[in-house]
Amino acid sequence: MIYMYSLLRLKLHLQKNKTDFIANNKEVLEYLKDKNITIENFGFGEYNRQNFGSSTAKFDENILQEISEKISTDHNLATKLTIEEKELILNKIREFTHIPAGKIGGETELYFEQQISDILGFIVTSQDEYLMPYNFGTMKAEPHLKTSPFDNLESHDFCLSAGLETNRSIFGYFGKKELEKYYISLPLNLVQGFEKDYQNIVSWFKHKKVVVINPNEQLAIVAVVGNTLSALPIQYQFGGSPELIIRGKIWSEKNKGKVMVFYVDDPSDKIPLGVIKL
Amino acid sequence: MNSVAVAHDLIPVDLFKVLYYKKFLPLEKINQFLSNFPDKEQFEAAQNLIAIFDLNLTDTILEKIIDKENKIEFMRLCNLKYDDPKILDFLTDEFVDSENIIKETLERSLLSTMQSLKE
Repeated sequence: MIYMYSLLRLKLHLQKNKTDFIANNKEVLEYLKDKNITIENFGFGEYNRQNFGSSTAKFDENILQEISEKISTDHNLATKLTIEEKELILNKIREFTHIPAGKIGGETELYFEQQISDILGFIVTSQDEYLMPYNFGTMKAEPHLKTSPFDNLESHDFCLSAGLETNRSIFGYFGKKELEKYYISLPLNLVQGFEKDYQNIVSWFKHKKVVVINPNEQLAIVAVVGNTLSALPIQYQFGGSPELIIRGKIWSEKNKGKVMVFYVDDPSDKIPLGVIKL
Repeated sequence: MNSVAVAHDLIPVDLFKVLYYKKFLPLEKINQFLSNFPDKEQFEAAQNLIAIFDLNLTDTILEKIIDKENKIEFMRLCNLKYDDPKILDFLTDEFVDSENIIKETLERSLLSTMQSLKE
């Protein structure tokens, strides 16, 4: 029997609704947060009902268990997309590499979210509490970042010619070396409300998981937000760590720095950083 | 087995009976919707669908309630006991035609969910 609907797509639709809900009701939600009333207790059907589960963790675990299974079985979902379908999606992404950097928006954005989630086997989104300053643009190569005050270039075992940034990141020292390997920089000063809401925005973006799509090399790189972009985003809208730039073939002859970036919905931090072949 | 299902009915009754808006649910259409998922996914699909209903309905209601304190009161009631009849009483007092608004929102949510899955 052929079933018409995909559970993953349903979850994506739920995610979209959740994002819209949060965006539409920020004021009320802030108030509830102040009163220590958590949103998980209502308005999210699967949460905390008397007969079904006791916390958000249960739902997240369900999703993540499914994601882990999908990853471990070599992307079950990916196999559902034909090569032609995948090529069609990548072609659409490539079209964006020929226009000036910006945001996708509207139905096209939703289309990309759904299609890329289908390919990768985990949920990606461009809408969250804070919007990304750009969804697509050009990524410049950044140096290594310090993981601690005593860190030195030699401790980074890859592409030492990239150098080591003398200043620490806007988020402080990286801590875990594994995180520093795959980081991106964003022009955080362009996030809406940055001047008023500086602390919350910096805290929210710190090590937020993202996926960078390199459409011309058919690669996706799972990374974290590791720094703010140092220069004005005129020529470059994103920065990338040496590992990300080289292993993700961002500046290959075919790609020339062009990327599309989405948030990864990974609340339990189960999706590993690194390069995925699309 | 996660739920108590009625014969020829794919709706997990236990999931739906704890909703304050349960009497307005378009059950036949929901049943039809769930039949498009493989058996082992139907329960989870129902959970997700309810979550979508909850979000859309809460969103619509919060938009309809003008007074901020009343918005908070609505959320507080939902948070205390999600199947409490007081929630519907509160909504009836708060704005006219609340029942129709709930029905329409649920129908619209189901339709938009179906459309998004067909795209």
